Amino acid sequence: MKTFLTWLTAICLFLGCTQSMDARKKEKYRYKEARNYEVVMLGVGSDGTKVFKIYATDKNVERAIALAKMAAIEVTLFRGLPGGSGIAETPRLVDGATREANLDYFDTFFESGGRYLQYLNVTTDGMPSGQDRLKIKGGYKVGLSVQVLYDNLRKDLEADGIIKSLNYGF
Amino acid sequence: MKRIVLFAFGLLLLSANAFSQAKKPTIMVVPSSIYMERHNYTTTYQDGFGKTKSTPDYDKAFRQDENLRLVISEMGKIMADRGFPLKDLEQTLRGMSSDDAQRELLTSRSGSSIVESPMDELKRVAKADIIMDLDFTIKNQGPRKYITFNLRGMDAYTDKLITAASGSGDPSASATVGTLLEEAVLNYMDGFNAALQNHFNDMFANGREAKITVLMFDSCPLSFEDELQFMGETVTLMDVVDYWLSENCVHGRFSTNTAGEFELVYEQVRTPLFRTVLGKERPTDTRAFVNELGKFLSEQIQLPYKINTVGLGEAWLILGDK
Repeated sequence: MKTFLTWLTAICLFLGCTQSMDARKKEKYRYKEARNYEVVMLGVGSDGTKVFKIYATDKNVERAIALAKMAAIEVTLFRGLPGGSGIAETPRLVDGATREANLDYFDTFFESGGRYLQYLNVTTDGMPSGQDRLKIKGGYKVGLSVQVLYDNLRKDLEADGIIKSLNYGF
Repeated sequence: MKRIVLFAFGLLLLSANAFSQAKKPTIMVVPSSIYMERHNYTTTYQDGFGKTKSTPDYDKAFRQDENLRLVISEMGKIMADRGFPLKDLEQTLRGMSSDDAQRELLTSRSGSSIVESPMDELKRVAKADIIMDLDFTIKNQGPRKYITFNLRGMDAYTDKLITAASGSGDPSASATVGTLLEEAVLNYMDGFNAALQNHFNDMFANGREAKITVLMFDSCPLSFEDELQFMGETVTLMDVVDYWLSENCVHGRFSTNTAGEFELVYEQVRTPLFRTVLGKERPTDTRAFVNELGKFLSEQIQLPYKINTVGLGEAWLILGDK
């Protein structure tokens, strides 16, 4: 009886642990979506690209830079880019329902060092300095000038069946 | 063996159904009338009442305006990349004048020439299902130049505005006009295409929005207000047409624009994109939809009919004769 109870406790603990790991994994992803972005458009990008500056905040400069790179793709995908000073708004590529239906795809997409980096060119030379690297309470706020390969990103999402192409169904 | 053949045939039918594709709308960039007036690309004439009127001269515009050609080329490049090559207005006009010349000269060995009704002749105009109405102006701010851009996507049949993109670019003293124009197109096309995508998504969910006109030849024995017996009730001919539309439109959606004694005009008619013919789902258009209505009226009320196709999204049904 004692052995049975020990086994039962062990199984319950194991199941509980896996579930909470899954929950944390999903929570981590949801946290990314709710992140507060700061985006300033820098101009109309050349054919099929978007050029903007993105600000991210984290404990140290390296982490803030990594976060800014991820945020640049996230904002292009899920929120859309703002307009201003002669630049038109760019609508988001993926709507909420599509994102919810493909959480696993985007989890893999945004893994550390994952596919999202293929669509990003950082145009800031070296480590950010001056106004692009501000010490704030609890960490650093870093500004990165980036070029997102918008058309490549859109085409790959279409090829993966995540979003529809304009001629889909015709 | 027989089972295998049947199974393979079934699979073939299934795959044919799965890959059925809707009829693709054509898109054409047309310079707006305000652009044509501003640059004096017009031809003036006197109408029957002695009034001076002007009409756009597209041929003159394409021969003289390199900026216009540049903008249309840039737009065409982007749309082709998105899987929607544009129908080119300049080439269409050239093709039409070449067709006209060939039709006039073509004769058979016995000396017969091609028969063409006035209606056929009238239909041979440059047309598309979606019109991209384009206007842009090159403006100066001191030594700097900038572009104001206005692009509207219109449904050619319902005259509805599908999407619009407009605004002024950032002034520049160093960039050439060509560069500024290219930049203006790149700036607005992503937003324009996103709205076009929403229009297509709506079309696949709720059917193609069409315009249907029902007319009568003077030989028709009935008017739309005449009463007749239909399904055990006394109703007007107009009610019978309304009944068929509500039964056959996607979600029963249509609205009546004109309901006269001899003319019915229906707008926002949601027609299905596919219909099953000989056991297979096939793409369809407004002409086929109106043909079904004609067949129904012919069977129920013994009225002969004729169909005049205006385009993918508009057709006329004329009752009373063939």
